[in-house]
Amino acid sequence: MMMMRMMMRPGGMSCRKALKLMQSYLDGEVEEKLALKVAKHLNACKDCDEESLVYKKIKASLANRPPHVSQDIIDSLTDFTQNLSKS
Amino acid sequence: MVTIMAPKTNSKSYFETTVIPEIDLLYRTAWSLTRSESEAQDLVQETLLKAFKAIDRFDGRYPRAWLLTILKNTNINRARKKKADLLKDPDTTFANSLEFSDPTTPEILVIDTFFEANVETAYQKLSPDSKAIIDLVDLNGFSYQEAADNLKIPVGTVMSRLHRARKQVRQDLELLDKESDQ
Repeated sequence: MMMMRMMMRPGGMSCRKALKLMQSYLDGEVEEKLALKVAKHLNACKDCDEESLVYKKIKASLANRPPHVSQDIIDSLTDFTQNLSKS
Repeated sequence: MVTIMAPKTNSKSYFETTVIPEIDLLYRTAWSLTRSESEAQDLVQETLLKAFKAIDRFDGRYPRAWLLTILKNTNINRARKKKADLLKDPDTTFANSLEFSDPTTPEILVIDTFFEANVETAYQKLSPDSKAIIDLVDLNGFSYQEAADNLKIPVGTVMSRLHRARKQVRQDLELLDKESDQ
């Protein structure tokens, strides 16, 4: 089944190649002509499209992380917790 | 095998030992949801207060999931309250009303709270090199070339390290999902 999938070329590109290019494509690091081919493949292949959505979500979430977490904030929340326990 | 502790034996110290190891993750998740230090801090404090009041009803299983559920619900309630307050305010501007026409529904927030927390957990497990690449490309929007120049390594190394790191995050997410399903 996997072999068959690999041999198929939805949108003119194999799943293996699309998966290999996926992250660079999502980062905008693939040249335009090749990017169009990846886009065409994703449009035609549900499995690879779903995989690309997972990576998009991971990228968005990694981009949404706090750039810096102050230890003072963590300490003050820890104090808050300890004070609750003592109350 | 899951060990179920009995929170009622000494609820106060149990609360402390259950909650303190999760504070960092709670704060980071709250920051991702609010994108503000002060709001994230308020959100975590409200979450901790609610958790403290509910500790006797907590069955001792999956403290992280329990706390994240409280955080998620608290965040939804705070967003609803903020919206209601704005609507009551006669000075509410069109811009403010637009802010809340965001299609994000509470249902989506439910999914995102756990997803953000799981990505944070997976990120924390990465090596310093992997974290550095992710911080440059995903957090700061560097191109591969810019990241390579910054780290003084070849572009190919940036690409392979970055892709490997994200793959690791993806695999960890699957594991964390399986764990939470159990």
